[in-house]
Amino acid sequence: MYYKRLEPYFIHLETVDSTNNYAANLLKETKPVNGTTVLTKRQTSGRGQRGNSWQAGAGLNLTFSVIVYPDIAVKQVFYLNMVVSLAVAKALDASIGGISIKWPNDIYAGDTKIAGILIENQFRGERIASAILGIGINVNQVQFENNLQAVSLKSLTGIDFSLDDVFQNCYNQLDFYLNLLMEQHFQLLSKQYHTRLLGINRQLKFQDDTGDFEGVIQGVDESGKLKILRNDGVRKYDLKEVRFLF
Amino acid sequence: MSMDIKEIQNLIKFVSKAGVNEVSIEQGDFKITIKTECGGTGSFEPMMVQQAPVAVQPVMHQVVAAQPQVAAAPKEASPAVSGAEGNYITIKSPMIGTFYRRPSADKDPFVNVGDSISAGTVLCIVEAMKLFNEIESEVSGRIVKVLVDDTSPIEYDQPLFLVDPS
Repeated sequence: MYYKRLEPYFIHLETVDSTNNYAANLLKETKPVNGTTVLTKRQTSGRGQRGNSWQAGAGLNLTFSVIVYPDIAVKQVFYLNMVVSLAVAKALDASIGGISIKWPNDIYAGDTKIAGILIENQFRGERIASAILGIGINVNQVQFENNLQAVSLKSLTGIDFSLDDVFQNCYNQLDFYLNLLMEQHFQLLSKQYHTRLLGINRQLKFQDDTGDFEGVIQGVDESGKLKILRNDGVRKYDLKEVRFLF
Repeated sequence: MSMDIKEIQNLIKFVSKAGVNEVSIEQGDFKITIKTECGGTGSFEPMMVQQAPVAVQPVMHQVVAAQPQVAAAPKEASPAVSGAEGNYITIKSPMIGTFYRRPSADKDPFVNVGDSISAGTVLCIVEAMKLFNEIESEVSGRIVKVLVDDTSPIEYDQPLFLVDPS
């Protein structure tokens, strides 16, 4: 396989606290090549969004972190969310239909989460020197603790999937979308992201600090804020300022 | 094109002697504006601004807050004008987001007051849109003050740390 951007250097671990942590230590102590990937069968304290842990059954799901050196400006940082979301969504297309992106970077199959993304960037001045792209995909897990709202490729299809195949698809797509970013195809990335955006252009219910309201998601702006058309005009929301009620 | 700190200090001396209030110099991607508050004497608040070039050189975001040493001789009985923060470098936020002093809730802060830091030391995380952005220092020195509480929302360019570079 020929890659445009990534050098496929894969580190397989039986078990690790979190692949992102392991990758962060690699970055501090060595000079990992662009594309170095840490994979594990079992993550003991995987992290979702700060404080939320990501549940991965041993050997059932795909958990990996890719180290890249994007060298983009701080104001373009949201494109990393687009790149990784699109890569995972596109990779899952190969196995299942109805994959969308829930703003800003959750991957949904139908109306349920199937994959999570956690991106950690290292800034140097006003540029992004390096980034750790953490990806967790529910592949063969069929039971989820605590009635967690989640699905997997297997729970939706009844078929066992090869973790290697799903990973390879993801890695290939990541190379493709990173290349678009490096070639500065910002509009193309944004257009594709919006095509996948869950709930876009539909009248839906939301909640903000003033209460429940109806509106239409129009898209995200360059900084990643969500634009919702309401009765009183378009408002832009930061992550914690709005909840989806659908 | 860039300037080292010596050149900037010389420039500040020059501006102070020239008795003007504000001088802007722009060469290619590099831009510096020096403002004086008291018409050429007293304290100075040079502001460094560099436009982000495309893959040229790292932009110097950490603004040199003040360089009062280079002031021309003040008039007799003039009080110290620089204040306690006069020699410190202010490290500012490169983006809007949430300020985290710790790598995770159960860990120690990246840096505390009194800690020595050098270029590359991680100071904090700014989270924006589920992106966790580690902010590294571009200067060496000692942390004098942490200006924002852990987990507070912060604005672009908001001062985060005071660093004593000496």
